[in-house]
Amino acid sequence: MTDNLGKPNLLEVRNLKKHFSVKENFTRNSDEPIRAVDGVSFHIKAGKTLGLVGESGCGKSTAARTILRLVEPTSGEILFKGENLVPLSHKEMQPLRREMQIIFQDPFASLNPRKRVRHILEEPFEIHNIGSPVDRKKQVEELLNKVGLSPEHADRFPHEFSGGQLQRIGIARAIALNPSLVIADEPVSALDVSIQAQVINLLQTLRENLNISFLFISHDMAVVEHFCDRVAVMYLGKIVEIADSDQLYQNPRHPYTEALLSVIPSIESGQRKQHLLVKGDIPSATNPPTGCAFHTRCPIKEKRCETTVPELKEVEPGHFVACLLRES
Amino acid sequence: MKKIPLSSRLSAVFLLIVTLSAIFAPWVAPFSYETQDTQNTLASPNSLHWLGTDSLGRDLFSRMIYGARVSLFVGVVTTLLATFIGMGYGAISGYIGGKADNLMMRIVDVVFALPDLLMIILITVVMGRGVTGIFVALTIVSWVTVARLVRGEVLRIKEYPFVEASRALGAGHGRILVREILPNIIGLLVVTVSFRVPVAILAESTLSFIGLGIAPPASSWGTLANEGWTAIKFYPHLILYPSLAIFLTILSFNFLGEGLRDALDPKNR
Repeated sequence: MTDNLGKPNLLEVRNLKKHFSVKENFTRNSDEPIRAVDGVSFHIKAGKTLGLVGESGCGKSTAARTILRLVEPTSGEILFKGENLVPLSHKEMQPLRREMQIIFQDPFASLNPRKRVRHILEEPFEIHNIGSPVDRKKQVEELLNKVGLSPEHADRFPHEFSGGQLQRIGIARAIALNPSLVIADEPVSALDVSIQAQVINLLQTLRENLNISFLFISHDMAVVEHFCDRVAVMYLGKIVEIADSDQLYQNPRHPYTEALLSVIPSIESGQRKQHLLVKGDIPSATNPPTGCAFHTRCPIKEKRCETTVPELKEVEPGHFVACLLRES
Repeated sequence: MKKIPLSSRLSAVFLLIVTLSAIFAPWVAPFSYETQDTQNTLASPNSLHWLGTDSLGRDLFSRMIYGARVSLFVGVVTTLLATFIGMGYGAISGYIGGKADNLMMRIVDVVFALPDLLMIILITVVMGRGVTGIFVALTIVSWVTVARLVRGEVLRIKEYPFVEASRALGAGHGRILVREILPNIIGLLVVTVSFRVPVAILAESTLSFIGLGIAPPASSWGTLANEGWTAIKFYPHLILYPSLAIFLTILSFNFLGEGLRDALDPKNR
């Protein structure tokens, strides 16, 4: 899965797995774990943005947290600037944490309600022993300016802000140490639509000015199309299709991707798309369906889908899909 | 800043007066706690003995002021001790989680399951009658309640994204516990302390009441109430005033706790 455009991979994830064991009773764990992330591979080039989409419960957020080692991976490799993070101890991870940061979905819960904004934003510098207290004060003011807030906001508490402003503070904290990779875990889905656009624009400006790569997690196909260079579609812990945004949106191969795209509202009359609805809920990750995990809901499934597990195959340059019926 | 309610202010003033008069008892009290006025035994409240005298002619008001020393000291110190122990234990247990948490909480369950009074009696018997025995006994029975409360809160708060954000920035466990999690349970701790102090004062009273508290002629509010109890029908003032002191102090601690909790919450600033 390498396209030779010359730029090195900033992040490469190889066959990442995270299984959670389930308590069956007081003493023993169940034999069947929850396969939250079940063999995911992708890469992000420096300065580029990868979108990770899928419905709730498909393992997007777990994948994000595993990459940052906030959750320990079960197996697989996470190569950041060529270095595998998986075997590193937490101490060895420490300097790398400056380089990779996260923005959370819930702006209220992601800021400590007992701390003033100033202390929240000084924390990154304190932890990594950067600058004197005077420098930090200046840095905080600069950060607030960068995200469209003003220095007077520094002495307030989180509950004095609106959701959009809080998310800006969350973003300021994430970019404080000039990271090269930011994982944005549904950064706008908790916000009003009008605020969403502002925050997305802010992220875009920051991406251009600071040369940050994003792993952008979302379930909103329209936002992802607008923001990402490349998109990976996840279903039940696996990537079912990955391609450059234009390719994926214009020529989706996987029936699940088609279903996701068909629900994007369109304003062009006459060209009304047919809603390709997928029935039912996402199956349990404890006991995933045999064969292709999507076959229980797939509108075009055949008999062999129930038994054969589809592999990700390249159908056109840079466009991979895991579907037995659409791989050629 | 939100206005602190009048009840909390009055409570603070009341507790301050009680505390100061306890500390400066020899100067505040009109008599010593053991001086007998044999002419005036079992006197009702009058201009000489403001709250009357007991069967040995000792001035009740003075004995209550000296008694406040024991009652307040026991109440405040055992509560602070129990809160610190319980907070540390509960926070660590909740933060580590998993098997260690399970084991630590089972120990708490065992301590909790033993009847309080039985434990206190055992300990005071072993350590002898006196303030030290009461300290140890009350601390041992009350830290578990705090530990459970704190552990529950830590379990809840440690799952918040702001804790995760701190980890993503590379903060160590100590920093996360002390700087991120504990500030969020300060309100709970203040309320706990304000509710535990009265419990300890009452417990000391109970102990004194059944004769395991401090030894006479020293007095605490509990021993005074106990002495008054025997003559409740004929000399009600002997039980009325010590009980009133206990009641007002407990009430004040509760009001003060509520006010403090609200004052410490940044949402009210």
